[in-house]
Amino acid sequence: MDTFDDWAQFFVEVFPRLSNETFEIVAQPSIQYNCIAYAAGDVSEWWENAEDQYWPDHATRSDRIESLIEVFAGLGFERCQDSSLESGYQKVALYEDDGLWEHAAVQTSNGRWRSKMGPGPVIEHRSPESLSDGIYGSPTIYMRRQIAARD
Amino acid sequence: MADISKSVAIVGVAESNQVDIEPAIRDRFNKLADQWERETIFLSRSERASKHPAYQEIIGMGERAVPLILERMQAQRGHWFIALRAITGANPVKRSDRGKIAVMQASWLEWGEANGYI
Repeated sequence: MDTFDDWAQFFVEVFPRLSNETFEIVAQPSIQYNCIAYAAGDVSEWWENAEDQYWPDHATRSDRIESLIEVFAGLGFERCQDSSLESGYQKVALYEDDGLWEHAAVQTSNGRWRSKMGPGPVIEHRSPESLSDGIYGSPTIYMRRQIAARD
Repeated sequence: MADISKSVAIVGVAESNQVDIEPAIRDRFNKLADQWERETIFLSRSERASKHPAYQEIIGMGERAVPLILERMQAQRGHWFIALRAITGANPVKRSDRGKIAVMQASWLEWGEANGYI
């Protein structure tokens, strides 16, 4: 796929809720990192509990959603209620399907969300629910961590 | 290690830098690999992607697929580590390099060269 239109059509086929909003591609496809790495702030490694991939030592190496919660807890995130924008906090949304983790998205300072789509591009979308009803299951866990205040 | 030259008909390296392999095998592999890449491009877990029928069929091709997988790896396409481990039983990736895709690819390509696959 060479153009945004090609990608956009493909995205909407796989994630039907994206047809109801404006989303944009903010980084090109890369097999070097995935959504978990991106949400954790790392674009140099692929984070997955698979045998060959990076998974932080502080988390259980499992594909259960609880393991992904441990990953972000170890990075200073705590569980929170929802995906609303809160001043002074960065939030992540964790997606699961049948108890298995499938995806993570990270909130930007303007309240929108960014997702690295597997080995595909990074997109910016309106909310975690934008990617519901697709191959990621649903966002069921929200976590937040304090960020340094800006002048 | 099995003598793959009998089944893959490797007779050298073509001018295009592609390993010279029977066209029918290359076509079959490319079709499966393209399908797998297209249908798993958004998956965050490579283990889930590896369960795709096309990927499993490539694993089923056995050692005939190894040079073609390594060729894709050189082109920076897809995560092929699970297939390579399943087919060859080898794993040249150091534990400390887990998740560093470029380093992992380099380790496999070095292994492929040392074992006569490329």
